[in-house]
Amino acid sequence: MTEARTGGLADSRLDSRFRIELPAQVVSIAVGRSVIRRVVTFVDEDAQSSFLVAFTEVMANAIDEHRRIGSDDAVGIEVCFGSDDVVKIIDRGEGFQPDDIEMIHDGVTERGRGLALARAFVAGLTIASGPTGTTASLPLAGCGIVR
Amino acid sequence: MKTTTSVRFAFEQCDPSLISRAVMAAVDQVVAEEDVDIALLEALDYPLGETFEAIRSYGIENVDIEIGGGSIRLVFGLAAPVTDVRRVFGENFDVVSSFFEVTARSEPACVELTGSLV
Repeated sequence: MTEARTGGLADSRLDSRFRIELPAQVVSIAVGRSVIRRVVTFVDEDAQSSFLVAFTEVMANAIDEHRRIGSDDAVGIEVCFGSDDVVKIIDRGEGFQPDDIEMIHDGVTERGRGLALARAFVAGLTIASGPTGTTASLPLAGCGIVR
Repeated sequence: MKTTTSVRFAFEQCDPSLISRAVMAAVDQVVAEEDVDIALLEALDYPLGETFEAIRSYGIENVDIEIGGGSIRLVFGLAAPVTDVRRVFGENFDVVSSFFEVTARSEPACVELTGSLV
């Protein structure tokens, strides 16, 4: 039976994670935001606001992609914490081309403008994309911690 | 026709407090989308909180939430089965069962709550 996480040293945190599978609907953005607010302690209100803006942009992109391709698959949110705290948004769309990802990181393309905005709000935001989907990773380092 | 909203959680090495906070945040948000009476929405926190307390020692591994058509269904997947829900919930069973039908299964090990939102 699992009562609580256990660890070695008192200050160490074992790597833990939880995943949420949500419908590709607007309500899922609100659900994700609500969950993040409940499990993340942010350093201040500005950090919380910035992170949630970035999260909203990325989730909206993921939902739009599922709708664009007519997919009934769920959009995933994964919260990983321990050695590094990070929130990931996982879609099962058709992905970005590597060149597009570079232009998104530079804030050039219209389609990727929301992701460029998200990157401006969350330092270290990364995107891993392939033909079966895209994972955007939003590190919490510097703005909050999962508790 | 109103559709059903399904949200599925899977937990790895998460403490019970985080599990309950995450799930209840999701329930609160999805139920709010159903235009449920605010008093009922707020009242649901108590039986859900008591449910988490009752079953936490059985190891909550996943939670499925289904809301729609005026009803709510939560399935808590457990590491170990609950064999006697009345004993597990103790004195809180009557309160929880006034909001939900409470059932337990051993294969797969889970506790299920089903209730009305109208």
